[in-house]
Amino acid sequence: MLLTAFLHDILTTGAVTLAGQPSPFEPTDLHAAEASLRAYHAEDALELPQVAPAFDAPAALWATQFLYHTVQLALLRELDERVIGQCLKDFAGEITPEAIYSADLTFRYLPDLLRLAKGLAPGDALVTRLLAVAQQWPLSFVGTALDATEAEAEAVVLAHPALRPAYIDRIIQMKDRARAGQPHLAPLVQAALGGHAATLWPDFAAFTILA
Amino acid sequence: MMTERVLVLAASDREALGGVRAVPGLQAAEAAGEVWLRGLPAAGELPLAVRALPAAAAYTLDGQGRLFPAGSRTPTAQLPALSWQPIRAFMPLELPTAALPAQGAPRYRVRLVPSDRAEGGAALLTTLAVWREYAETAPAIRLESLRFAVAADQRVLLLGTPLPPIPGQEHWLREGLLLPAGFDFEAPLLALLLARQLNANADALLLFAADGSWERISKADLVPVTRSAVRLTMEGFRDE
Repeated sequence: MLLTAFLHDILTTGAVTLAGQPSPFEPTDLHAAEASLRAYHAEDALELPQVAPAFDAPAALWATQFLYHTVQLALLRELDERVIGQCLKDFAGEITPEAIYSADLTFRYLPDLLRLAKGLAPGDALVTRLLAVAQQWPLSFVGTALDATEAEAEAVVLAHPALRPAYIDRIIQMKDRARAGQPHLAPLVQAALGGHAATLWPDFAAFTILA
Repeated sequence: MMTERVLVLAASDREALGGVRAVPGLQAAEAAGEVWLRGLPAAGELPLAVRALPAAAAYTLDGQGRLFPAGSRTPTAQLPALSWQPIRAFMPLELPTAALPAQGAPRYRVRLVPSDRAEGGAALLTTLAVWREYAETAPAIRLESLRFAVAADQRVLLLGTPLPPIPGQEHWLREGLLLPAGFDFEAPLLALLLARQLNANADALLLFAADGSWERISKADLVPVTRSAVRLTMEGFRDE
């Protein structure tokens, strides 16, 4: 029950236990992890504005395994690009609002891991892979550098009535100036801050004018 | 040789001795329904207060303890052995019983009056339905600086800045008292006194209405705002 225990640990204590080598997870483990993710989705949805997208089990499970392997690869530095390619595959399904939100339940921890990996070895294959994933899952990677290829993935987020405000909330929370300064995002951030921008994000006006 | 004068009063006239408490050297004793007084000079005029006493008998005392009625050369009795006390101890002071019915401390009705002072809002009193509708879609940053408490009648008190732009009665904070916006105490100094009197431990906020009525809200009942907290609170009321 490696994945289930990992999930429990990361959602409760933040201190995780991993296997020494990447290996597939048992079906019973995946089943139990899915149940945990479903419960976590229901709990987390209460914090989302409007009505949260429904639970997408394949996306949630894929993202959890992705996170698990990323932690492994960040620690086991001897593993090469081939192993990274095998363990950190793209999501096979369609990237819908449901998939985005369900994957985000665990993907939201990836930016911290990316910063850690960058600190260890800025140019290694794991960092490159995570930066590529960041472009596909913009909701989870607020605070990470933008790329032009993100526009399509971001459009799905911005089109959803619950994910759009959640995305803007994160931009404000992370003080992501690069995103907040984007012409299509700045008005949304401004609307969220309302007449209190000077208090809630004191330099928001300065960098959006410069942008 | 006469040494002093002795007066005898009925015990029922004991209260009259209050007028002679200031006479120096006077001693008194009580026995068999009579009050005896001694320590008065054998000759000369007695003080006016002593002369005013309703004495039942007056004697002159000689060195052998014999009692001579006033103007008589023949003793008629012997001074009894009594437990003499200084007059001040025999007639201790007592607080008088009030002649008029007791009066309670004067009561002051707390009144709020329109004020020309413009103070920043610190709290908002609204309803759970309005609050929930706002919290459903509000930006997280507008929620996280707030705390809220809900009353059984579904009134919601919100504290923090900036306050949400929703209908409700705004209040400003003064000495831990939440006063309706645009109002102040008729006697402004009252705020500090009320805070000390009604919230000595500073563990609550006193929410005032414009009519001067108030209610106490424990600070422990104010919880940080999260969207889930608002939604679960609303569900709690639906389940009741």
